Amino acid sequence: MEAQAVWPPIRLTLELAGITTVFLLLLGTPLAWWLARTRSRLREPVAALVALPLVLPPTVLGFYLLLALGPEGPGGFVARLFGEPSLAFSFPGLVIGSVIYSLPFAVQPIRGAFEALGNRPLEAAATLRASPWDAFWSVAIPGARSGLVAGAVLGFAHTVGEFGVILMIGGNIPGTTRVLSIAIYDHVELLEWETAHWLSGGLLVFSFAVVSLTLSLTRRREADPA
Amino acid sequence: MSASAGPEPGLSADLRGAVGSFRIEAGLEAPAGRVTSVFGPSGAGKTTLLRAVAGLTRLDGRVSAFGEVWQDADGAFVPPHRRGVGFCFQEPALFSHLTVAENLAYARRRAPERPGAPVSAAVVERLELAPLLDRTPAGLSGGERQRAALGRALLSNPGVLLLDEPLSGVHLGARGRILDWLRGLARDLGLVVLQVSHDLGEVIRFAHRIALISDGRITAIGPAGTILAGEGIRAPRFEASVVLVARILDTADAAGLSTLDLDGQRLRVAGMGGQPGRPVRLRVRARDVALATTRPEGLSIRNVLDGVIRELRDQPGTPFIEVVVAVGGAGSRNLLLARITRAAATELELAPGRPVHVLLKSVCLEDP
Repeated sequence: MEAQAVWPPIRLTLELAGITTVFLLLLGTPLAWWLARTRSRLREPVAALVALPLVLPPTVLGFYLLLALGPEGPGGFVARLFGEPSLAFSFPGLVIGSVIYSLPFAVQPIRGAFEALGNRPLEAAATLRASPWDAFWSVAIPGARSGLVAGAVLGFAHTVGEFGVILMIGGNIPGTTRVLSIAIYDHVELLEWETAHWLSGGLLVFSFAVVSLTLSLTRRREADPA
Repeated sequence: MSASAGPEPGLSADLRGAVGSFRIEAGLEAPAGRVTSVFGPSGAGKTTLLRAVAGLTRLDGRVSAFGEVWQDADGAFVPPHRRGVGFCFQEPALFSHLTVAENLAYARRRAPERPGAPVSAAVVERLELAPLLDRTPAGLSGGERQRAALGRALLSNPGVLLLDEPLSGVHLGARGRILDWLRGLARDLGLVVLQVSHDLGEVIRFAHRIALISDGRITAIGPAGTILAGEGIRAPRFEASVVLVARILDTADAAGLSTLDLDGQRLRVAGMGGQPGRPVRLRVRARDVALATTRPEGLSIRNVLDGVIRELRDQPGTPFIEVVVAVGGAGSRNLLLARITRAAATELELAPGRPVHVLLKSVCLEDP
């Protein structure tokens, strides 16, 4: 087993998952807040849209993303502003795809935590002269912290395990788009069983740890509703 | 305006609207420096009224406090965080991610300075919070949470303090001490205190003024004594009594007595100081009041007032009736309640409109 073959995909995967998680929290938190509190008729359609990647085959999502990110799509238009031909088959393209693909995994627990928190602490904050913005940061975010951690962990982990969407929009470019799951696929194709074993075993342990952590976070929240 | 209404402007609300299928249409005034209790059965709209005053529930109408318009018919609406209200919810809403000390600090940090407002140390002492400071709300009892939430509301230095059954879980002794302290704070700082309760004992002890609410409407509002006597409210567990407002004429003469003026009639009571001219509140229990149709002689009772019977209230299942007597003329707002036997009432031929002499066996002083 060559270290050269093992580490670049791992590093790339961690980078992708880390950056994706940051964007998931930045986009997912306000989205979850809106979904938890709005009375708009748009709430259910938006919630369904966010949840779509849960049921859509990754190839279908990847196909539409490929069109959107490619030279003919809006992604291509944006890419040309930076002197690139397209966002497809690029690292930024992977980040965009991963954020969309993992969004439900981040939004659901955060939304749940905001809903569990309820309106009362925010009303109390208002009567203590905290503006809505102040109360969001000083009461809602700390009050929903277990949901935020769970959302971040699940979003990170789900991005690490991503395969189909990345294959569709990123291909298999070493150092740019060749992430762990795709590397494992390659090693198996090439009958490099030892490397495939190491990488797969690592992912197995990682996934188990993530699921355990998430479950314990969720349970703690249920045990401490006050 | 009666003496207990106070000269200062306070809170004025005239609200109407619907919350779900419940309709509310309530107007009330709550003077500064006074405790106004909103009293009524469950589901009468007490909490909704308080929430609307705070701006947490949006109803139509007008709310103003201390000359500042919080909302009006033209659509002006000051959001809750700019109203300067303190709100104690029935289920205390302490922030669960903070300790009690941090909850108090949360309020303190955002509060404007107000000369004479209680500092953290005073609040901690009066509400007996010291042992709780380092604990998180999850580990506190209901009463402990309520005390902490009240402390937090006070430390935000509100001009209007809205209390929704704030001490229902606090045991009676401590509750009384805290309510007495709050009354003093309201007076010293000129706060509007609007309290909701269905505990009549608490209302009697706490309220300067009472607003009766029923089915979303204020049915009566006025000085506590007038409302309690006039509306025939009695607590089964508490003695019937009324609160009168008198004025000090003279304190501590050679006999150790003070002279008070009650609608032009004199009362002599023991053991009180205070500036002449200052109003004082007197609690008179119905069982300490006797009635006579002729002026009695040779009695140890010193205080005999002239009054006119306004109403007789039978107490079914008991040998007693209660007699409502207006002292200081038939139209007076100072009403006394006398608890006498039905047999005595029959023998004396008591009836509404009949003048009587009112004998006060004892009078309790309350702080004004």
